[in-house]
This record gives sequence, C-alpha cells and structure tokens, in this order.
Amino acid sequence: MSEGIEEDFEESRLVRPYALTGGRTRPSEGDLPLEALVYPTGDAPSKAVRGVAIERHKILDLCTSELLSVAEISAKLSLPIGVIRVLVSDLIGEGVVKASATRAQTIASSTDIRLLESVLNGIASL
Amino acid sequence: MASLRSDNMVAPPSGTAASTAPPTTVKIVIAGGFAVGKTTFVSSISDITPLTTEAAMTSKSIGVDNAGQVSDRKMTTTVAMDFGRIALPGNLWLYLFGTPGQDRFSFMWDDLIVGSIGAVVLVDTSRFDDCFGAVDYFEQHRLPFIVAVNCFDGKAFHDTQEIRQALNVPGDTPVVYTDARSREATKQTLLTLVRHSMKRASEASVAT
Ligand SMILES: Nc1nc2c(ncn2[C@@H]2O[C@H](COP(=O)(O)OP(=O)(O)O)[C@@H](O)[C@H]2O)c(=O)[nH]1
Ligand SMILES: [Mg+2]
Repeated sequence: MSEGIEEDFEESRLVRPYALTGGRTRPSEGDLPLEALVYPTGDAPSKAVRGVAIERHKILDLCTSELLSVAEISAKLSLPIGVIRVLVSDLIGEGVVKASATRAQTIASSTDIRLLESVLNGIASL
Repeated sequence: MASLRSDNMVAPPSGTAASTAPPTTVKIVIAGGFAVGKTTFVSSISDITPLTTEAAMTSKSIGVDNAGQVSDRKMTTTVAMDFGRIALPGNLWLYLFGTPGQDRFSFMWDDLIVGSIGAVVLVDTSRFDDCFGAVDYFEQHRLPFIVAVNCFDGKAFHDTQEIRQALNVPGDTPVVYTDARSREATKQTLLTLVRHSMKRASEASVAT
C-alpha cells in the first residue's frame, strides 16, 4: 500500500511540470543541446510579460543574471530537462532568448579536430 | 508601445551573455554503476559544485491488475544526473555529465551522446557487471569511450588486461586506472579520453 502512495506521488510530481508545457514533451524547434547556453536577446522584458507561466519568468531571470546552460537552468529550477527544453524553445521562438548552439552544431563540433585539440590543451593547462 | 521598452529594458550584463560571444560548449559523459565514484570524479575537477538534474521517461505498460482487468497505465522513470562545468582557455566550457551505467537508463544516453566528445566508463572492479550496459551502448553508437578503473583507496584488484578481457572492449580502447578523488588523476583520465576521441576523429576523416 505504501508503495502505491509513493508511485502516485512520483507521478504527480512529474505530471505537474509537464502541465506547464501544455503537455508537450518535445520543443517546437529542434532539440536544444543540454549544454547550450541560454542568454537574453535584450527584447526580453516587454515580450515575456505575455507569458503566463511563472517558470518562464524564472528562466529569464536566471539567464539574465548569469550565463547558464539548459542543464543548469533545469537543475536550478528543479524541473526536468524536457520541460526546460520546451519552455526555452518557446522563449527562443518569441525572440526573448537565444541559445549558443544547435543540435547540429554540437554534433559537428564533437569531431572537429581543432576544437578537440583546444579542449586537450585546455585540460592539460588546468 | 515604445514607452514599455525604456522602463523594462535590461542592459546585457557586462562580462556575460550578450556583451561578448558566449563560450563554445563541449561535453563528456561519465558513466558507471551506482556509487562507483561518478559524482566524486566530476567534483574533483569542476569549477562549480556539481548540480543535479532529472530526466523523466514515460512509457505505457500494459498489465493485468488485481481484479483481473487489463490495465493500461503510464510508467514513469526518472534518472538523476550530476554534472559539473570547467572553463578552459579560449572561451571554452567543458561540461561533465555523470549518468548511471545500467542500460535501463539508456533513454538518457540517447540524449547525452548527441554532440558529446566521448565517454569515460568508471568501473569498480568488484562489480564489473554494472558497466556492461554502458560499454555495449557506447560501442553500438560508436561514441569514443575509455574505461577508467576507480581505485578505491589506491587498490586495484585486477590488472588492465584482465579488465579488458572481462569487459570485452575493443583492442584500441584505452583502459586506465584513476582516482576519482584526485584532481590530477581525473585530469589525466580526461586527457586520455580526448586523445582517443581525436584519434577516432582523424581516422574517420581519412576514411571519408
Ligand atoms: N575511498 C574511496 N572512496 C570513494 C572513491 N570514489 C568515491 N568514493 C566514495 O564512494 C561513495 C560514492 O561515490 P559517488 O561519487 O557519490 O558515486 P556515484 O554514485 O557514482 O556518483 C562516496 O561516499 C564517495 O566519497 C575513491 O576513489 N576512494
Ligand atoms: Mg552520483
């Protein structure tokens, strides 16, 4: 019995965040890499007031105060990655924020020898 | 309308965001079984205290409930993932994502490997089987990976040749010892991975 209660709790804890996205689990435009940095375009405040979800404002506040990735925003707001992806993609679509990299760019960079060499030298210098 | 702007306009924060080009981000996956030392490994070198985030997977499972009725309920699994960040010279940020090594979590790896430089599979030699799933997965998806044996208290119970055989990893896959608590050991382990990834990338560019 106690197991059932735990499961229900677990489910509501997860379902609520997805209510923020209108049930969507995929973002409107391409997948955002976990490590993509999200930053305000400067158009942010006037446009963001149209948003209903308080979480949209929290995202905006966070990435205005500090340069953060999709994963960091998820951790700091305690919301699953998938939810943050949807909300950030909406904000990108509205021109409120930008992401530093697309999925295609990160795929290309992972085999870019010059970039890998910079990473190697960078780690060696730590 | 224009009046809305002047009041609410926020200048781009200096030194961050829009004032300069944002750093190029790269990522490395740290995989391994429960309590093998993933979070310890990430903390030993990260600039930030590792953060935890969650990914959720929802799937439908068809079952028969107690009353004998066929039920169709949603099953949700969440996986916690720890990660850290390291600023490197040349406006580069390296993210390290620590993720459980069992293959029932592979839905998360599908996401993590996209654009990843490669993976470090952390192994505790007293519990080899915890990492089989990760090794198989990375091999299948052709993600460059290395095997790093976390030597708890400086003890290794198997030599690297035995480990290589037990895990059945390809001959050119580096198998190294590490110490998740040591920044220097973590650094050397990451260097081994990046060198391996560079080798794979240059082989691929010759082949095409
Ligand atoms: N003695 C020793 N303890 C370690 C080592 N690596 C990790 N630990 C400890 O093992 C436990 C699990 O490590 P953790 O990094 O949380 O494992 P994770 O589940 O893979 O993230 C923690 O209490 C660590 O302090 C090690 O190399 N030596
Ligand atoms: Mg951990």
